[in-house]
Amino acid sequence: MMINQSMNDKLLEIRDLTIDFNTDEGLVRAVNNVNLTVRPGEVMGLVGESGSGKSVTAKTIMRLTPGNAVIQHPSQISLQHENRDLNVLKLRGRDLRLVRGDAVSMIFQEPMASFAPALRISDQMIQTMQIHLGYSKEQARRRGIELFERVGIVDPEKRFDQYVFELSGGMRQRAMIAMALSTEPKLLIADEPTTALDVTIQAQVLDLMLELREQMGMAMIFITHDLGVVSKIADNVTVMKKGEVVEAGTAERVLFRPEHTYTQRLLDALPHLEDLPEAPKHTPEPLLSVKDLSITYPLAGNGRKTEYFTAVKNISLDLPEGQIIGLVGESGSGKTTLGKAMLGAAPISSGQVEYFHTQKEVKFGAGMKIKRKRLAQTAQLVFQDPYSSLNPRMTVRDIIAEPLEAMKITKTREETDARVIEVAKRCHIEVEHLRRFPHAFSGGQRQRISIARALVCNPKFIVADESVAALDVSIQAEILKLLKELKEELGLTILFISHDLSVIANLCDRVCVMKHGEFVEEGTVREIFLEPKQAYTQKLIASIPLLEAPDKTRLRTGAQVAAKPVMETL
Amino acid sequence: MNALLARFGRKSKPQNDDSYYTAGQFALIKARFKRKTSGVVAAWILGTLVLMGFFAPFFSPVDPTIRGADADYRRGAPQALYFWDDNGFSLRPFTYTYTKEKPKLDLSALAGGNLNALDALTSGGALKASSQNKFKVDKEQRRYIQFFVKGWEYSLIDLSVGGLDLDIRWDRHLFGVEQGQIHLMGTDEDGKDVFSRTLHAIWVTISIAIVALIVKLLTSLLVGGVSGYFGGRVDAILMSVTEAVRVIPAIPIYLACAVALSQMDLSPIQRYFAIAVVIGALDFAALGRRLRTHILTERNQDYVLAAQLCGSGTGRIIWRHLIPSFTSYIIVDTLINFPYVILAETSLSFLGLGLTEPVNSLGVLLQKAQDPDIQQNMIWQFFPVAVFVFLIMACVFVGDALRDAADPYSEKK
Repeated sequence: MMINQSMNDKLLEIRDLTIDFNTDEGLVRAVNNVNLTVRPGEVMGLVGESGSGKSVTAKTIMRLTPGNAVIQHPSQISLQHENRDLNVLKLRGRDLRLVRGDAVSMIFQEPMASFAPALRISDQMIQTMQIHLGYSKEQARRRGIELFERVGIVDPEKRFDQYVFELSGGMRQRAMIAMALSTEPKLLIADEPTTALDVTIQAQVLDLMLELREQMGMAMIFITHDLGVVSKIADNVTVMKKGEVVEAGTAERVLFRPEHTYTQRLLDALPHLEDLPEAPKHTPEPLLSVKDLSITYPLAGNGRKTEYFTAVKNISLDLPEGQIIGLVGESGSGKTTLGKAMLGAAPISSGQVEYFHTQKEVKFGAGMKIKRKRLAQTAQLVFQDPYSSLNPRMTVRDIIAEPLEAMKITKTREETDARVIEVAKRCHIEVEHLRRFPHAFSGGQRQRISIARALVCNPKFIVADESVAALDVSIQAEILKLLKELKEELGLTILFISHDLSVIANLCDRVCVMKHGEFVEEGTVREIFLEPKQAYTQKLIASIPLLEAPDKTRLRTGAQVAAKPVMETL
Repeated sequence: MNALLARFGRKSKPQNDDSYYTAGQFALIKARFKRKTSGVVAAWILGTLVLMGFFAPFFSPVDPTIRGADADYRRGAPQALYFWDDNGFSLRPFTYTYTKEKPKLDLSALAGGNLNALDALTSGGALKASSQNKFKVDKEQRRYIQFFVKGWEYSLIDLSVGGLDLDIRWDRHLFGVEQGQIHLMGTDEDGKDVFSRTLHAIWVTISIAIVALIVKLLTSLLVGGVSGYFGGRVDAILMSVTEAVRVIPAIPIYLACAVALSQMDLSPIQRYFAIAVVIGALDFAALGRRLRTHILTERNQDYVLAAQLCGSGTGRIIWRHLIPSFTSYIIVDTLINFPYVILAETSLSFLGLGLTEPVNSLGVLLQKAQDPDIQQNMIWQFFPVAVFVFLIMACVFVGDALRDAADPYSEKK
């Protein structure tokens, strides 16, 4: 099934890989009959959603499958090493080092969690090199600093001896890459190496990996769910779904002439800069107005002196009624704090928030008491994490009915039930599912429940705080569709907070950009994405990984060139 | 929708069984508990022991107090049950009639003032305890086991509160013999039936443990709850006190309390409740601290914020959201601590500072087993030790299995 099967120089060959997991609910098939070939120097993009088996496949190559995994019989993984074929699945004891560092090494998704927090990075790297390459301590140290320099860490000698928490997110991932490269592997497995990073840092890390790949010529398996990232880096792409390979081929073929509907769906989730939504003709009256809002948090102070951290600095903002407003910024920009402040869930140190056109006056701010019930009937929150935001001990019906019962909006149980069923239908939750508990639902369904709970008391305004960040692309699309529907049908105003610019581009009417607690820019989606005025916005927009044509000319030229090939395929 | 269903299927049972989806917290715990065989077996053993303890009068063939003591069968060995012997086979199990052999002491030789005769008597072994409990087995006289026999009257369940007379009394026992008494596990030096005493002791010990655990739970909930909910300075002070209590070794405190209690004029029952309260009140540190941590983390969960934003008041949040989140936790912790509380009671009684004879408690019976006389001549009095070991092991295994099953939502995080 792979390209160039006639070529003999295969670095890695996976044949009929089938893996089951022994779980509480019986055997669950995670990987089903997967075939994959990686040639030396090739970058293979492995694409799929969570649960598609891509990470399990990669971990099996390093024999790092969890204890309850059962590798079924005809599975075979062979690795070309020193001119002979290694049967990876038969390796035992010390021989495992061959696939755990010697010939294969791995870059993990979350660098903070993959370094030992209590050891200096230097110690971890030196030990790795001592074991695998037999270097002396000094030799390993010199090599480590050299690698740090190579991956673009400024002041490598100083950084080398630091702990992982002393480095910034981008630096950590660079250090992780340096560590993975330290044993000079032939195959590098990168498991979502940029997913946890902000877009601008993601762009830097991707550039670095491209550069290293050209210099060192190793093969790479690049696991991601983002086709934009894949198009930047991969030669060949394998798309997995539910443990099976649904499509494989060269990057050009898969990304621009996708055959499987699933690949198409993944492609649809990318931002289409040439097809941005029209800005509404007129700006409606504001529903809510924020005036000179500042939010400070006390940091852990020593003794009597308490230091304060200002998360939001002096922001004034009007949100027009009946629109979806995107709030964009990198992590730590204060966007979530601002969103929570609008719901009265963050300590406001100065300024005020006022809602218009409500039945009773809703106004709060520094030194003013929040009328919680009035506010709760006007504005609601949809959380980021659909798992922790639903009480696992309550049925879906009770969760959705919570605002009604807490604020005693409905008078009888029948009335409550009727209202709950109405909202559930609107959010596409089946009525029979109402007596189930949250554990019976997947992330997307849980997010629907969360939205239903927010809507049940007929609010005018909803803050969606990274509400699709934890979801897979195809489920994201469904939730976004639901939000759009709700806006149209109920005239809701939605503040959509996200770090994911492609989601914003596909959903919002207006966009606000934040950085370090301050406003950078505000405008319609077209204005922000096509003609960003501020340097920071420009940098942010330029960092979005978009589909790239095979000749690697960047298609993200914004307004000037309407990206023809993309248009055709989408 | 297909992709949605795919994810759905992976996270749950392959078959479309709605019971899993509609299962509440306790149903999930039960399902997970059932998968652990050792826990299930232990739960059955524990259940049986507790049941037998609670209805001890019904299950025991002999009154365990001095009233029921068998004067003709003191220091008697366990009487085995037979189904057949030389005289034939019987479906109904039977035992034999035992008669005490009179020790053959020739006291007449002493009458003459012969010192040699006295010497021979004392060194001859006839005075030794072991030679005094010789019984003759009359194999010709079978005593058949009878079920639901009439015996001494006891109160099955005493629900009398104040003036209400709801004491349900009964005089039937599960088994007995036609004439005389049956001593499955022998008798002690007063002729009290060891088997019946042990059954009665189980309930006494367990009820002390329950009282102690309730007191402990209340104290921990108060300290941990207040500490976790208010935080800040209150938390700091309460936790310092907790730590201070925690560093004092337990046994000396128990000893001090026991001595203090012995100064007071208390009936055995009052005394044992007092001990239970002392054991419970001093043991709050560990659970209290854990509860505090639990409340602190649970308070910062998103769903609590969600409830706040839904307009729920503090009372509603505590009642509807926080308390259910630690009920399972408290139940598990209580069960795991059960053996320790029993041990505390037993060790106090063992040291002779808790309950004392003639009260039936496992600690008292264990304390008796210290006696060299029993160790040499009445080895059957170790029966309560075996029961005790079973009880503790069952508690430990059930607690262990429950701890694994306790948080059905942990894997989803």
